[in-house]
Amino acid sequence: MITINHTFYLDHGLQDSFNFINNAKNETDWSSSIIQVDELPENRIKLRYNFLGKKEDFILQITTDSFRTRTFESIEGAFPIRGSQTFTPSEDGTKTQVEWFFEMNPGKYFGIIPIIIIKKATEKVMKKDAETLNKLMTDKLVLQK
Amino acid sequence: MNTNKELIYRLSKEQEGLWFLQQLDPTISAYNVVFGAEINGELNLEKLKQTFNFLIKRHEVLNTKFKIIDGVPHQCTSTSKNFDFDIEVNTSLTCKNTIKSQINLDSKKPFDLSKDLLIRANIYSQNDNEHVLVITAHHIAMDLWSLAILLNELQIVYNALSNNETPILENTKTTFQNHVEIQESILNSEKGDSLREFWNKKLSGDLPILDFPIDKTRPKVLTYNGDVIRFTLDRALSEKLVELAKKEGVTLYMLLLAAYKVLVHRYSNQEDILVGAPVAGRNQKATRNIIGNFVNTIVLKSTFDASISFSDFVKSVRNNLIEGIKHQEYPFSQLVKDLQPDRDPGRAPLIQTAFAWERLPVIKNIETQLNDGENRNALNINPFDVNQQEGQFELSLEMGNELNGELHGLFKYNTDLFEKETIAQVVSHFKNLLKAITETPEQTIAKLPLMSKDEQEEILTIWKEKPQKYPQFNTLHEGFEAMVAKNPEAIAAVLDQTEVTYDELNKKANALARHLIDLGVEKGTLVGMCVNRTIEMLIGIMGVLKAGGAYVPLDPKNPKERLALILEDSKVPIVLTQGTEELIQTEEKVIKVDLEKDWEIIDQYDTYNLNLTTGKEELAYVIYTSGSTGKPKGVLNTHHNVLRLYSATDHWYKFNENDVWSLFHTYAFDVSVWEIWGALLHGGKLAVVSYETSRTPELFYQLLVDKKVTVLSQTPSAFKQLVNYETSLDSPKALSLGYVVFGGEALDIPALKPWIDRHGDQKPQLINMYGITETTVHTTFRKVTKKDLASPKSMVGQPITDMKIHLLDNEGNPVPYGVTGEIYVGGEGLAVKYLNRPELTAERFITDPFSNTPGARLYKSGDLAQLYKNGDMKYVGRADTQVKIRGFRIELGEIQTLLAQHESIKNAVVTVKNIQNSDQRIVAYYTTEEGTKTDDKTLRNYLTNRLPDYMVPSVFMKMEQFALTNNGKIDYRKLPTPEIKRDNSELVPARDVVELELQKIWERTLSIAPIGVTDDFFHLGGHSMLAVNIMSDVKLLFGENLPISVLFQYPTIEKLAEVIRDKKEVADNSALVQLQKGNTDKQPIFCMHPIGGNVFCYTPMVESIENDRPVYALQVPFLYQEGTPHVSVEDLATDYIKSIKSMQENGPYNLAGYCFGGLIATEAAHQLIEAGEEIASLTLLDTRSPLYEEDEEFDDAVLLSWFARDLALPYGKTLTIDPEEFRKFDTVEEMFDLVMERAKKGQIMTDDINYEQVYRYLQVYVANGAALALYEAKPFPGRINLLRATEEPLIESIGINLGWDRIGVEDLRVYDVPGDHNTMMYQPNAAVLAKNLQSIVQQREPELELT
Repeated sequence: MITINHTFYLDHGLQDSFNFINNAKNETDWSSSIIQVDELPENRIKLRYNFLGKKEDFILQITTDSFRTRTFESIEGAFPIRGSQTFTPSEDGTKTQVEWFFEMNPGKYFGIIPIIIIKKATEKVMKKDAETLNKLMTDKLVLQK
Repeated sequence: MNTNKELIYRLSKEQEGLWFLQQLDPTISAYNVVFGAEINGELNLEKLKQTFNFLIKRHEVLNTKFKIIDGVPHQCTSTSKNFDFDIEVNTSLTCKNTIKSQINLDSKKPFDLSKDLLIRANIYSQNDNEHVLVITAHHIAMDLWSLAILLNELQIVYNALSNNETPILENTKTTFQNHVEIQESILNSEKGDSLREFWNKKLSGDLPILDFPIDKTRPKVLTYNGDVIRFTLDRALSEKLVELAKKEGVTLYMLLLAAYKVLVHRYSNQEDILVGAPVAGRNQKATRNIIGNFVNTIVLKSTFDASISFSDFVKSVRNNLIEGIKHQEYPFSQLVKDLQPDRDPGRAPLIQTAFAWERLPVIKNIETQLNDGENRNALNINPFDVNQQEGQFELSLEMGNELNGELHGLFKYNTDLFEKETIAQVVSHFKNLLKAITETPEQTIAKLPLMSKDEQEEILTIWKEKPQKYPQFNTLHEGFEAMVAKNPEAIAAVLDQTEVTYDELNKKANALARHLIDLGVEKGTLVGMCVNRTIEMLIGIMGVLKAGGAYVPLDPKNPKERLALILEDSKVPIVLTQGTEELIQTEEKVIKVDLEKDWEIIDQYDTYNLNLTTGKEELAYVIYTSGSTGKPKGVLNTHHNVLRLYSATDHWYKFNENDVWSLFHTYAFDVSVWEIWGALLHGGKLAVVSYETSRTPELFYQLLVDKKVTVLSQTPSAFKQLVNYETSLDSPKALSLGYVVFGGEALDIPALKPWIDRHGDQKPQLINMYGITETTVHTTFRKVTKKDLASPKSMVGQPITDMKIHLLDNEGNPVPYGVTGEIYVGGEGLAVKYLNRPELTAERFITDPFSNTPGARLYKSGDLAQLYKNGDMKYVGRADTQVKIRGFRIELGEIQTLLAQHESIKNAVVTVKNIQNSDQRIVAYYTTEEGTKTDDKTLRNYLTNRLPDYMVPSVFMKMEQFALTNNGKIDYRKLPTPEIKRDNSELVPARDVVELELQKIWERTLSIAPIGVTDDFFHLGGHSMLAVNIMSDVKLLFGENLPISVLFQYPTIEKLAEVIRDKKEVADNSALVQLQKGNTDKQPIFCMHPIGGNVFCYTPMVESIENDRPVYALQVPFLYQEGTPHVSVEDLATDYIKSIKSMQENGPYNLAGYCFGGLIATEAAHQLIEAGEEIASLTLLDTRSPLYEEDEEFDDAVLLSWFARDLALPYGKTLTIDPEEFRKFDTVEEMFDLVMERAKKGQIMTDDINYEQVYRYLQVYVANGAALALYEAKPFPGRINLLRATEEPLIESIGINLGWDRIGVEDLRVYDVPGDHNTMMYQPNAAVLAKNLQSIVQQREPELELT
């Protein structure tokens, strides 16, 4: 089992932050290991991952508590994954804290690749994705305004 | 009508040699034959041109071009009837000197044998009536005889043409072509066989190479720059020589040739001399009026016997010469081919000196004509001296010319070897020799004087400096006690943290002295000392001296058997010990005093000074040195010997109480005497160096810093270790050195460059002091300065002011300046005698024949040296079998005798040979008794138990039998060059980074490559000092001290690596691996590891990178350490920048990376640029851009097959395991076992490597794979150099720029290198890669084309 918690800040208000992350179409832009997203009925999405040399489809069930939490859990895929993003606005409302929780149990899926490497790589990806996300939001939102 | 016809034919053998030399170096002019003539009166230039035209048509050989046809040189002779010869006229020079200079320049212009006429003429006109004509021809078409023909015919033709007449000349009856054909047919006939047989027999055996002492450093490649000195023998001497020749029944030529040979013998000290003698080669009458090069050189060998008289010698030369002339038709170049002498590109083959007798009949006629006052020719010419053909030989003498009854001669010499004044001296000595020969031809060759009496007197008294101070005390301890009285609380000695004041040392020594007196010590009693390097050792020495005794060192580091020999010889009644009793095997009556255990007893004694009556000749110590009979010999030295060493050198050194001296050497080596008393007689401090510290350059260097040592005495070998260590530091630490004093062995001055570059030559001053135990530590003094670095000579300077030195020959006569002689030393430093060796004492300590002082003695050192006119001396080496290795005097006979005593040894020879890198090693050759078995290891252990480690041979060579000389002695010259033996026939390569690093250290230290990991250190010629080097480097690299003994226990890379791994001594910061040390003044190159995480792949490339360029590589530390490797390129780069900055604090940086390493290098460049640093170069070795993605998905089988492939690549091996093979197994563990099994089988891994280690490799591999997968492309704001493997098939799918053109590189340069992605890293491709990388780093375009 691999469990990762990563907290980061977005230089944007709560509403913008929540909406951007919750929009599945944005996933391929900011999440480096997701190469394809298909929106499915009943708040489900199909993600195609490319991670550590392996490509795999997962169907996730998305649950949201608007502007507070977004959770996801696999209902189909090579191994179970689940996670959440919890949003907290800053005092002045200009920034948003995101607590990103991610858990997966790849079992032997990655074969001989040590779990520690998988975990470290995942952490790295999440950290990097968070930075990309902030930058991407800034670019897109500035353009929109 | 132009009837142009061309004759094409082969070259004569002489021509072939000359043609080859000219091809080898087209700029040489040493084979230009030059003649100069003054022309007085009107000169008709047009007629002169016509004259040359006429003569060139007559002698077609002058109009010959040399061409290669079917790979063989041919001469093509033109018979053109219309030919327009041009004469270059110079009218701008008005004086003869400037004309001579210009002639020198013009005549040295080389000929292009493929297109130039082989003759040219220059006229230098001062006015209408004064001209100089210079004719220059190439020796390939002209010899001296030809020149005479040319001059003769020149006048005849010019006369005729001036009178509008047809010139009438004797018809030519043959051609040069005929000569070539005849020569060929002779060589292919029975006569040719007979000639070949004669010369091959005559010159069989080892051929001597001339060892005439030269002034300059010999160029590595033969040069032909030369000059001449002309001389005249006065009429009286000339007449006497003619008379003597008649009396001896020889020609003048033979007499002068013999004299020249004697001169060369006396200068070179060589018993066998080869001298070349040109012969005209015109035996056929028909050849005597044609031009061409007929001259041949015959080789005359003489063997000298010191007792032979000149009279007898000249007769042997006569016979030798007559025989040679009878066989003169055998070409010299053919002889060289037959004999195949050892070729040294810096020396001419076979002969390096020549004697030419140039009194050819035809020349005489010309001379007569030219010097005929009644000359009625239209061309009124007189000889004009011009230099020609200098530099063909190192030294040659031409004689034969006689004018007005005076013999003339000229010495030609190579100016890259000799100074003019040296050759002037040679001329003077030749004249002295000739005079002596005429006076006493019956005198033996060895006794014929070369020098005049005045010159001899000058040499004997060249050093006139006298001491400015004399000893104030009779004994050493009195001098010490004076310092105690002056400053009792000053620190006398320190060892680690233990200090002893002058007063404490004095009191303890006084107490000990009283105890020793009670035990029976009195004046002259020898007291053994078997103690360690401690403060107690100093107390012991001082106590023995104060009691009136003399100490006999018994170094506990020496084998018991050697100590036993010293005890037996010295018969000491008392031995001081320090927990070392078991080493002393003596008769029961010998008293042992333990300086620690017995101190309670000693402490009972009074501690005030003893004040015994003293005399200056009292004995101070007996130090044993190596002896040729298998037993060491003891040298007796007095207190005065030592005391005067400081007073006589005081004006140079001015030592004082502020000096801190290191006691680096064992007290059994006499340099310790200099160190101990240098401190204690001046009130200074002695920093005692423990044995371990003395063998660990890092520790010793730190001691110099910590103890603020000001006077350091070192053997050059030990100092080299220190310099090597210091050079490995970024900058030197704060040293306080005022003097570094060298002694003990020849100093290789250029090796001091790294030190002088850092410290200069003033602080500390570097002093070279030659010395020997028998003359009390030091005998000479010479400052070494930066200027000396250019010369490899080991200059030892002048004698200490109360010493004298004479360089004498075997007859006991002084040798001239520059000539090698044996060092004889006289003066106040001479030891009393050898203990118990009256015969040896008489042989070595002789009465001084040049002194008027009664009882004056000279010590016959056995060392050889040369004296220079400025009073400086050059150390040359040893005259006998004694050698100095790493500062230790070693009698090879001692080792030989011991080896021969081994039960399996039938016969043994021990000698010294240069092995790689000019490093001198002791080599033992042996044959074994029938039916016995022994091996090198057994013999090494046998000698190690009996001899100090510095005397144990580095190499043992078993021989079937020894080659013998004619006298039945072992022929040392035929002993084979030491063979570097490997235990295994197969070279086992390094299999991990520890082995790789050790392999590099071994190869660098032993100067042998490649070395396999199972090769034995000692079989590779390793010895104790090299072991010190290796362990010092191991310390630097792996961070821990390993005692040298570890190398003796674990003498292979494989075993040593195990020790290092087991001890987990890999340094924490081992990301940085030094691939090439280089010089600190060049920016290093940092190479990032590829995906496997190790950096073996760079080794072949680095071999081809300039040696002075430092190269480092960054490898994943987790390959050998616990921990989790990084999984992002960014983190890798961040970490590696820290390591890089530990070597190079600021930019600009040179970064490079192979494959995945290129991404790390790029990311590092990004981060450095963001931090404000500058990138000098960023070079990617076949790295794909991060845009390129691997489409192939992988499972464990695929991943492991990749892993196996990449595991093998750094070793230049292939490990291919099909994924299907893995898929046969159920578990990953089984798959992994397959990788292990195959890797071990392919010698990619050692047998002892464990699963965890390989699993760690895999972790690193996967982590880097993850990092590769996760790394994203970003624009690069600078230049990227991409070296692309041209044979990589993947180029087609990923594009010629490997994707880098698509990510926004500001300046992308792509260069092709040979090979595919893998083979580009191996030779020969790696050399090309290195060349390109080097070019990039040097900020210039690679020589390959930009694509």
